[in-house]
Amino acid sequence: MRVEVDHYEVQDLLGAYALNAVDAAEEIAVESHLRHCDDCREELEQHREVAALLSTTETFAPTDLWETIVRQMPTETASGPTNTSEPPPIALEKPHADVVPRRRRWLQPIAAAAVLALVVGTTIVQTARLGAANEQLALARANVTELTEELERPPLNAAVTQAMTGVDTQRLTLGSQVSGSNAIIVLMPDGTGFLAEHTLQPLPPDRTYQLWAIIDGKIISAGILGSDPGVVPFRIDPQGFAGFAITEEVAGGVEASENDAVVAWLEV
Amino acid sequence: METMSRQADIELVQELAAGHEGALAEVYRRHGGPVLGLAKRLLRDPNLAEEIVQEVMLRLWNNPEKFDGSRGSLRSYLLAHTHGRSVDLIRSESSRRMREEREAHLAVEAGLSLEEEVWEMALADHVRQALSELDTDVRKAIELAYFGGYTYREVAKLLDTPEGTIKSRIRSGLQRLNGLLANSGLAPVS
Repeated sequence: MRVEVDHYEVQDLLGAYALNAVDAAEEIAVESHLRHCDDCREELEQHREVAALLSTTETFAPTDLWETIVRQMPTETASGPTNTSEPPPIALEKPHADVVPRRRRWLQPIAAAAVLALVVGTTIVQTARLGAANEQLALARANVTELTEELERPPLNAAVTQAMTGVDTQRLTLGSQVSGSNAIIVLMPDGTGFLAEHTLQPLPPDRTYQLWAIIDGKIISAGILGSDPGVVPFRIDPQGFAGFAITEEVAGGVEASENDAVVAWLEV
Repeated sequence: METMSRQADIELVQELAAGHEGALAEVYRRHGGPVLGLAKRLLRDPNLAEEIVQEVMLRLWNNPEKFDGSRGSLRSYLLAHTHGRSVDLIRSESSRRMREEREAHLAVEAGLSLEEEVWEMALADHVRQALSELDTDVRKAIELAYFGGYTYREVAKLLDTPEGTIKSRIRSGLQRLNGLLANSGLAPVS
């Protein structure tokens, strides 16, 4: 079926079209008109931007799903782009600065401690002792094994390797005397980082590890790591960075953690 | 900020087109959550929703040239595709069972439950505020079309309102939201 519509009829349909709420014949008619009407294309773009804002939940997609996508890429991309071993590009956008937890039992002691450490130069260990419930967060910088094992995913492996060869790259060990676990994070000066190695116990499928960065005294989600993380890339704002923590959360992650950190690293 | 973000998207897709897998990883990190959330909301099936996310990401990887940064943000591009594919699935013959289940809930959908669900989503405060400033009839038409996956004709039936009225409400509502959100610095200024 073919539907002939004029400019004004298309304009009237643009809202519904932007929400995929027109029938097939109308869709064809609108698309035909859009090819030569700048005004309608501009209006459609605005409608779609608004719709995108309505969709925004600012949660993170699970790492497991990303790994599924990666596994499909070699066959799906036979005629597509060629993989290289170069690292991810640098983003201009601040990473999820608006995802700031509002409730967290472990936030205030860590954030306060991080700020205090920066201001007065004291150690985070001394400060954290003030809060018995959070004591385990700041105590450990455990010794861990060297990052020598071959990493699972070649592109990320190469990216981590390249990151680690950088002169200014930091290699941070998150630890805990309570859990006995540790994790190594490689962090480049621009804020690009990787969870490179860890001894975190695998979680059930309905649970996930979540990474938090302490920036300017605020705890900001830096990514969902999955129930059994491999090498996970992330990006933070390096300005004001003062530490990392990893918590265990429900699958899909949370905006605000109320759980104690499994491992943590705080700038001294 | 909008311009910086848009420019970052363009650079990211350029990197992706050059074959840098890390660029797609960054796209996934930035936009994967909202993409998955929208697909889940529409399909009500986590497994199908994840399939849509895979398809959307792989489509971007295979056809990065289809994204035109001068015509909109990467997020709106990905979400538009996610919404389109989800709606296709909802309306396809192969999803007859899903549709029957959806129709069983029509009476509920036409009521307030959908509106409540939308509000339960973690909308930013300014988006929630902008939605609250719309007339209830306008907001309901947009929510049923976008989050319910209904055509405007179906929305008209659900709300027992003329089709032309629903069509106009959706358009005018989106325009009003654009104006409200532009004041917050979020939406493009017309």
